[in-house]
This record gives sequence, structure tokens and C-alpha cells, in this order.
Amino acid sequence: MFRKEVSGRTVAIATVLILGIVQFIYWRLLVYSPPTTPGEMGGAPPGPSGDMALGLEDVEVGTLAGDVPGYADGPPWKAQFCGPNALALERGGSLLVADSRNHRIRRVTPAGVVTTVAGDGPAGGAGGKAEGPALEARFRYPSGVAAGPAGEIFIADTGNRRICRLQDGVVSVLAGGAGGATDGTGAAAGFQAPAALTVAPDGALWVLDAGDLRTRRVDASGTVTTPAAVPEPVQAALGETATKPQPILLSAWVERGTEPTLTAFQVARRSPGSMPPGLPRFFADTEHGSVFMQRPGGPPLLLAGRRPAAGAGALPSDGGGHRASFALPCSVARAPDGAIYVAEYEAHRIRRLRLPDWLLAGELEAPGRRRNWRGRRGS
Amino acid sequence: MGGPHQQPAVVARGAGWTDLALSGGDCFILSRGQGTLLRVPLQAGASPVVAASGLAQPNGLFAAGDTLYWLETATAPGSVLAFVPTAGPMLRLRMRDGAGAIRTISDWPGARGLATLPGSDIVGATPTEVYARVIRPASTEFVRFRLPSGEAERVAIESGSQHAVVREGQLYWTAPSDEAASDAAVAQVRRPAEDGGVETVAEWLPAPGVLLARPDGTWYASSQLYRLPRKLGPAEIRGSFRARRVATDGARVILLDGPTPQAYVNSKE
Repeated sequence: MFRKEVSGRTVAIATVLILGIVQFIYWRLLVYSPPTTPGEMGGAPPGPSGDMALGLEDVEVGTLAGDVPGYADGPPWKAQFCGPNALALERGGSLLVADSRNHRIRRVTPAGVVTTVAGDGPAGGAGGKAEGPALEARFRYPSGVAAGPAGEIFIADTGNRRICRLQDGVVSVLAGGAGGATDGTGAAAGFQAPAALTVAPDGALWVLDAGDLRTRRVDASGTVTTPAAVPEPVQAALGETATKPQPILLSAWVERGTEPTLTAFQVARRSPGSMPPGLPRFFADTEHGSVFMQRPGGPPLLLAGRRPAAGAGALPSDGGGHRASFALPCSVARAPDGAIYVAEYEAHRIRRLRLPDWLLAGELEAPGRRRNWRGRRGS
Repeated sequence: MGGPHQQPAVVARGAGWTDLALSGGDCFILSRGQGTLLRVPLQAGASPVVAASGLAQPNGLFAAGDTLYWLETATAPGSVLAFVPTAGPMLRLRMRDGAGAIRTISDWPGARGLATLPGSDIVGATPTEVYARVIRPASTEFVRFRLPSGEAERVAIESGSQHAVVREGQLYWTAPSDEAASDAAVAQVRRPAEDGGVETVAEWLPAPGVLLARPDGTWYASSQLYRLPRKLGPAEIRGSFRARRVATDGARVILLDGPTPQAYVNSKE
């Protein structure tokens, strides 16, 4: 029998070569992702003044649930949303999500597991209109959700111009169903496009109508009124965008020369958010894809995202607040553990922001740091 | 107007013309800025005639026989909440039939900045369906409008900017790869499955790329030209090039990678 002798050195060289090739293929094709630079994915060109406002490096932005757009329940890496546009926290710590363009209400646990709470019918269609058992009810572009004190869930069935209540597994109509802005009880009341919802401490449900920008009050019996004065916490929770669309000032760290400076910017619009009085408020700038914190009496502080916004076609990205980008963030909720959740309408995801302790303690920059952004740290 | 080995002749001149389609022996032109649809007889020196005016940011003119389709962007008065589908911008499919009558087929929820996002268009049409591609800020949505009811439904929505084509009444579209880690650089091609779901036709294609419909099959053009299989399988490489624009006239694949268009004709032709 013929047997060819191969030296150990040859075997070693061949092994090293093969391992190198395998490692290169693995890194280049499966791991490598091109670095992002301003103007590319997730990046942004400087504004007209040359300034670029960046979120805080110490704010950790991640995806709680959602990946590619679509409709699927399951673990966070499999779950899919299409146009999530409203959030509400339940007592157990789970999030309720108005998955508007799937015509469903979803629940996301703190671990990111997603289930459907209410809604049926083709997810890609134009929606439907039906009451009954939760998973047989049909909605049309639901764009608001709120958790009631008794465990009930209120749903703004926006396209059907009505407010629904989910209780004991059954969806019923609380008020509305016809167009207009008529006050009244039950079906006699009219809405144009009821959207953001919040439950006041007295149990009343407040509704922002995105069609005419009026704020309505609905009591437990389904009686709808249009109060002349809206309590400030309610207005804040529904989003000051609609009722007071004036620009406001914010603070953000800006690279100017070699030193970061706290600079005022204008925010065009503000989204609904979870804003208990006396505590920092969190809200999103839907127009520019960024998330802010505002302490009572203080200016909004840019937490994550970039100003000016990334251009059309930019893909959302996770990471530090200075690198993260958003695609139409539109609803914010704060969990008891301090996590901030953001519904991202055009990225079809629920994002989670974790804030550093020093920020929640009231500081504007990390103790012992001259610069808390862009990875540069000083004494 | 012209053809292979012919000297081009100027049919008409104008400013702000954005889309062009041939239908019923005439040339139709959209002027996005002016919101008009013009009809130009196909003869040198012809004068454009306004076929429709007052269109809201028209885009994506498409001809199917003697019927024209295009998209408009409608925004409700006072609408500020772009994330509320029924109160934000709407994409409106409109049509002009052979008799010149114009009507709205249906609306579909659009996106903030839709009017400024390039690429939303009509992908294809059959006598009973129209397919539209809606470019959104971070995704691409493919919508089917049924005729004549106007009932609309989302066929698929994919991350990033994607392309699509209709061949033999079936929609094919590109999507990020399911298998590659860097899905922005690798694409797959999908189509509706018989069971109502979605099936993949080809995977591991270099992205971005465009789809082409030819009588002999569906083709994918990127840095290489592929003929796609009829069922899931490897795509057949038919050439390599770096063209900036790709089109087909049904028989040939036209590549524009320099000042002179080149035609790719497969080896059987």
C-alpha cells in the first residue's frame, strides 16, 4: 500500500492557513458591519449652524421587542409590529402597545415576549369593526391605549372613531362610532380620530382627538364632554404637541470646536408620554427622532437620538444615546424600574432606554467626567 | 422619440416633468411641481395638452394598456400627528381610463415626509389588481389595490429600501436576507405563496439590486445579473457588470454604465 509522508511543519502551515481563511470568512460575511459615519445609516449631517446635538453616551438604548416589520407574536427576536404608536404600562410591569397598522393591541412583558391581547382579521388589511371576545374583536388603526385602575384596557379605535373597553376578555364600545365632535353618551358622542388616551386619578378617561386636536373627557358611563380647561398633567400625558404646537427649547451637548457646550435647540413637536407630576418627564420629538427628559421647571435634555435628524431611509440603531437613532418615536412610558420605553412608529419596534444613576439624581453630566459623550472621558 | 440606431427627435419641450408613460398612442407626462398630467401626441413638434390638473404631488405614473395609474399624497387639513394612520398623510391611488375619466381608487396610510421620499411608485397592474411600492422612512411597503372595489391590503413590508416587479400577475420583491448577518448587504427575493403566506425564491443575492420581468423569467440585477429560479433555489449568474441603471424592453436587458446604453442578450438569443 502506498502511503505518502507529510511533514508536521506542512500540516501546521496548512492548518494555520485554513483557520485563517475560515476566520476571515466568518468575520467578513457574518460579523462585519460597516462603520457608520455622519450622513450614513443612523448618522446625520450637521445642521445649518454646523452643530450636531448628540444624546448622552451613558444612556443605553436597546430594542425590547420587534425586528423586521410584520405581525408575529413570540420572543423579542421573533415578534413583529407594524406601526406601533401608543404605549401604556400595566400594573404588572408589562407594556400595552397599540399596534396600529396590524389593527391589534399587543402586550410586551419586561422580558420582551409579545402576545396579542385584542384584535383579529387580516393584519395587512384596512381593519374591521366588531365587538365581542377580545381575540375576535376588530379595530381599524387603533392609535391609543390606556390601562384602567380595575384592570380594564381602554382602546382608541381610531379609524372607527370610537373608544372601546376591554374587560373580562370582552371588547365593548364605551363611546363614539360616528364622526364629528358632538358631546353625548355612548354612540351619541362623535369623534374624528381619537388617539392618545390617559386615565386621570379620578378614573376619568381623557382622549386626544387627532382629527380636530380637541381633548375630550369620557366618564365610566361613556358620557363624553369637552371641558374648557384640561388639567396640566392630563395635557402633558396626552402630548402637548397637539394642543400647543409651538417650538420649545431643549438642552443638548454639542460639539463646538474642541469643547462640548450645553446649547439650546428648538423642538418642533412633542409626543404623548408618561409624565406623572413632580417627576422628570420623558417625551419624544417625533419630528426629529429623539427622546428627551425634562425635570420640573427645567429645559428638556436630549437623552438619545440626534439633531438634526437622520435623513430619509436612515435605519434605526441601538447603542449609546449619542449613537442611537429613531424613526418616528411617538410614545414614551416609564417603568417602575426606571426603564424608559419608546414606541417607534416607522421602525416597528419598542425600544428601551436605561438611564445612568447620575442623570436621575439630577446631574447634567457624569461626576468626574468632563465629557460624557463620544467615548471621550476626562477628569 | 427614437430607437436603436436612430437619431432622437424632440417631441415636446417643457419644464418640471417628472414621470413619463406611453398609453393609447400618446405620451403622458406628470409634472409633480405643477400637479398636472399632460398628454402629448407622439409626433415631432406636438403641443402638450393638460389631461388633469390640481393633482397633489403626483408620482409614479404607470400605463397598463390605455389606463394610467399614479399616486398622490393627501394630507388632512390641520393634521400634525404623522403617527396616527387615519389622521396623517395618505397615499392616494388614482387612475385615468381610456375615455379620459379620472377617479380615485383608494387611499392608504402614508408616512411623514412621503412626498419627499423618492421611489414610491406603481409596480405593476393587471385587469383586477394594482400593486404599489410605498417607500417609508425606514421600510418599504408593497400594497395591492383590488379593482374596481379599491380594497387595499399590505402584501408585505420589508426593512430598508426595496424593489419589486410584477410578472404574470405575481408580485416579486426584494428583502433583507434571512440568513446573512449583514442583511443590508445581502438580499433575497420573495413572492406570495399559494397558502397565503410568503415564500422565498432566491437567497444570498448582493444588495442593493433591482428586479426585471422578462418573458423567460424574473431577473435580478446588482453587481451581477441573475436569472431567478422558479422555486427556491440558487440564482443563475448570467453576467457581471457595474451598471448604474438597469432596464428591460422585454427581450433584452439594457445596462447604462457609461454614456452609451448597452444591451445584454443572453446566450440563447
